[in-house]
Amino acid sequence: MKATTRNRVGVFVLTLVVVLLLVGFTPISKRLLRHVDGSFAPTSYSSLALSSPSGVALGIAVGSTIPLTLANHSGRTTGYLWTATQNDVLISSGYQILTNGTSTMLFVTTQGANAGKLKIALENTKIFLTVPIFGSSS
Amino acid sequence: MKRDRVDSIVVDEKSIDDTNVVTRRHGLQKGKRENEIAETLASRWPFRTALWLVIALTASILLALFHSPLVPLPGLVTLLLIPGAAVMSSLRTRPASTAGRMVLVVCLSLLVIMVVGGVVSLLGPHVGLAHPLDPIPQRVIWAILGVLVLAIGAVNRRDPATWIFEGIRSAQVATALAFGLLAVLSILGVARLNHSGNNGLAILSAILDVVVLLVGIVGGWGRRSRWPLASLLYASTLALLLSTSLRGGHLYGWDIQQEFGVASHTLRAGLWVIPKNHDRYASMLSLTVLPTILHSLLKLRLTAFFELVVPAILALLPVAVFSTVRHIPRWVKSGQRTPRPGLALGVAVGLVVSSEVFPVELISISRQAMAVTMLAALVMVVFDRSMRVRSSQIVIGLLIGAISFTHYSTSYLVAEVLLISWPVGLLWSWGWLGTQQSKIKDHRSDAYSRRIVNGALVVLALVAAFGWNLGVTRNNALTAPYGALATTGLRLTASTGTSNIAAPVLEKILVRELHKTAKWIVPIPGSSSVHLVTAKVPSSPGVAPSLAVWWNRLNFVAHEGLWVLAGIALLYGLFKLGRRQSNRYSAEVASLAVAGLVIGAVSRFSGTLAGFYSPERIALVAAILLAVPITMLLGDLAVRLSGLSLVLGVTFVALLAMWATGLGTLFFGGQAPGSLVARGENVERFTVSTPELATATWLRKNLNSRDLVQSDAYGQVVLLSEVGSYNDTLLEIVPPEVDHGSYIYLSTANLIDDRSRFSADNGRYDSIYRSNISFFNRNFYIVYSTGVTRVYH
Repeated sequence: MKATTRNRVGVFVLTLVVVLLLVGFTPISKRLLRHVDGSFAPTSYSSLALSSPSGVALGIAVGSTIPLTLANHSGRTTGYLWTATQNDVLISSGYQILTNGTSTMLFVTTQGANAGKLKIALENTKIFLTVPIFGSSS
Repeated sequence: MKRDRVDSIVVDEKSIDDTNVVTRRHGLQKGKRENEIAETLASRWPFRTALWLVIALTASILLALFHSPLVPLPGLVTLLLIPGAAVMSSLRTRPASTAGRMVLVVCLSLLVIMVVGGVVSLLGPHVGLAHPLDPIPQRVIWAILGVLVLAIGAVNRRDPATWIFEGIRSAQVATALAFGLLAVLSILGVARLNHSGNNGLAILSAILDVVVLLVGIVGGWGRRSRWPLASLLYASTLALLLSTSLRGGHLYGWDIQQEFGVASHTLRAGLWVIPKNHDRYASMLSLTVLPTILHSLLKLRLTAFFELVVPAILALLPVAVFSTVRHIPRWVKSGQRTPRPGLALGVAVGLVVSSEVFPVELISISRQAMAVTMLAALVMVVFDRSMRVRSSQIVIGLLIGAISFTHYSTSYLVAEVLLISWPVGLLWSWGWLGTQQSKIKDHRSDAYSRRIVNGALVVLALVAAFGWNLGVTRNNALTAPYGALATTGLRLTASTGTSNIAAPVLEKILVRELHKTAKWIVPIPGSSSVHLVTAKVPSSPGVAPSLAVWWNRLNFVAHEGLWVLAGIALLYGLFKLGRRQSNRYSAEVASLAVAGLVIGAVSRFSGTLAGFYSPERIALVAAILLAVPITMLLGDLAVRLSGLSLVLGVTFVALLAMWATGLGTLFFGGQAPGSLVARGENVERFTVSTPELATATWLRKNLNSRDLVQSDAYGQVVLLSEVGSYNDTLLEIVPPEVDHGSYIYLSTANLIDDRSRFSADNGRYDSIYRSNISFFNRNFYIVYSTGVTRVYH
């Protein structure tokens, strides 16, 4: 009889612990992770891509616009300063603010560029693209 | 009613023997206790199962209302336990130990889920259900199945939940929960390593896991020890596995990426179809319908399936081995004492947890992880003396089916094992192994009734393996091994490792081979003048690097010693059988051990087969088959030298565990596993970062069927996960062999560490060289960039 009562109490306590663990999982896990400086959140990054890689990579005529996709996965709202340069000469530039987890299209004008390789870069990052430019007469 | 009572007594008989003979001789004399149990079971309606289902459903809804990440948990536990429990209660059978029951229940539940998913996928489109694996059809199907389980339980008057959990006390559950702290510590360690690169907590967690296991061996050494060793083993193993499976920003490992790709495809389709391209991965229900159903029904993310559920299943493997060797095996009636719990734990840890592939490699091959666990459950059923012969054979048949749906290689392996062990057992049964002519008749009559592995099971294993893989799905699992065997034969060699070759040598080999096999490549003009330079591979410096050579030698000897030990154990068993001490040993123990040694030896000495199925992985299968004879040998030795056996055993297991977990490598220097270091060759080879995954996703979305992607072995990992519709992936980026029109993916290791890797398909050699980034910058344009990854075109 005593054993049965003890077991019932044990089951009750155990149930209580399991319920508390289930309910308190989110705050407990957050606190523990913060305490050990750990996280399973994705690594933050930003990306720049040609919107139409196969077409654009064949070459863009001077004066055309280059469609790009800029994505922000840095974990916070970020302002991006982009520049398009050729032989270290600035062709065009712009500034775009993006909230975390979103992407946007950029249109880079190539007015003033010469035939050759154009570099479109995000300032203060190692992110850049290169695009072949050919003269408008060609 | 009377029949029910007798059956109940049979399956609850745990003391001396199994078999119907025991039932007749002892069962009815057991008195009051058994009658009470029989009456309780006979009058029981599936009240607890119904209550379980209601609580699980309510908990899921409440957790969803609180937006808790644990929403899938109640449903997952239910789905992994109740279907298997229903099968076992319908068969009126269960293993003696609670741990064994848990293993078997999970394996049978996996079978039920796979069969349900496979059947509805094949039949659904014919009855107007185009996407039967989508959430709504699945919820309806499983609700019907839930009602069916309750109805069958009511008809049989047997409650599945009670059938499985009967006898479990709250103190045992509390202990198991407490051991769960090991897993929590492991998760925190890997979270810290992923986020900040600090490996202190991960190392501490690994050390603690090993220490807990070793303490368990010591604590369980006394024959009357009541230490909760199964819980301890499960929790420690799970902690070790999680430290690897959660590493990186995506999945850890090579094969698992491809498995993820296959699962993603099935999930998007909402239907499993027999793959037209004969892909062996897509032919496995374990990689297709299983994760898809768990996702549809429970909202379990696919990555969570591979990172959390598969480790939770794989951690049952050592528990199955422990449950097998913890008791005297079936048919052994005299001359054998119940093994010390600590010895059983030592065997499970030494042979399985500390095997070379278990903690790191196997966890990244999900299909095999699940299949080998089922194999261990199968062996457990063979030797569990509390299960009746016929029930055991049925359960083994079900497990054979489950294995064939789970992993092609393991199903062939099971067929091979049974095909070897059955005739060996027959030779013994017929009295052709040392039985005197005058006693052969009695021997045959005695031995005939003492067989689990019979011809029917062998035929079933062959039909399941060849029928499913070659008849139904027609997958290509055997194509490459068969082709290699046909062209090169077994290629007997003792060396099965991968050799590292210098970059200039690799360049010559690749140029020579690709000129023959990939003539369509149009290289960049002048690329042949760019030559490869060998790159230095980073490694852990270690505390005592001067001893690394000796450490490696010691481990080589230790692992070879395990084979010697297995051989001696088998000889010891054959010696007992040969002396006609048939009650002191089991012919099935010996015959399965013979099969284990044969497949181990073939894999160990065949260079051809080793290229397709590593000898280390075969060694694990052999260990499962040989665990019982090894335990019996060690148990007999420990009778005479108990103290010395304990010291030697713990030292030996500690040595193996240090090697397998990578703690030894960390101390003596070398290539530490990714679970213990922030940077290093294993991290770059097997982890995937978020930017790398994003790049692979971009490739999948933006390239079409005419495009070619080139990447090296570092980059390939993530491309396997995000399978695109592009034409092909060429796995090398050596400049003379880069096609001018291809897309070249450079991973973080290529770009930031300036290091590329080539691995030969046959696994015979690999090479690490500098990435030649300037070559790509000069000759290609960058079409995608994250700063740490790039795509050139």
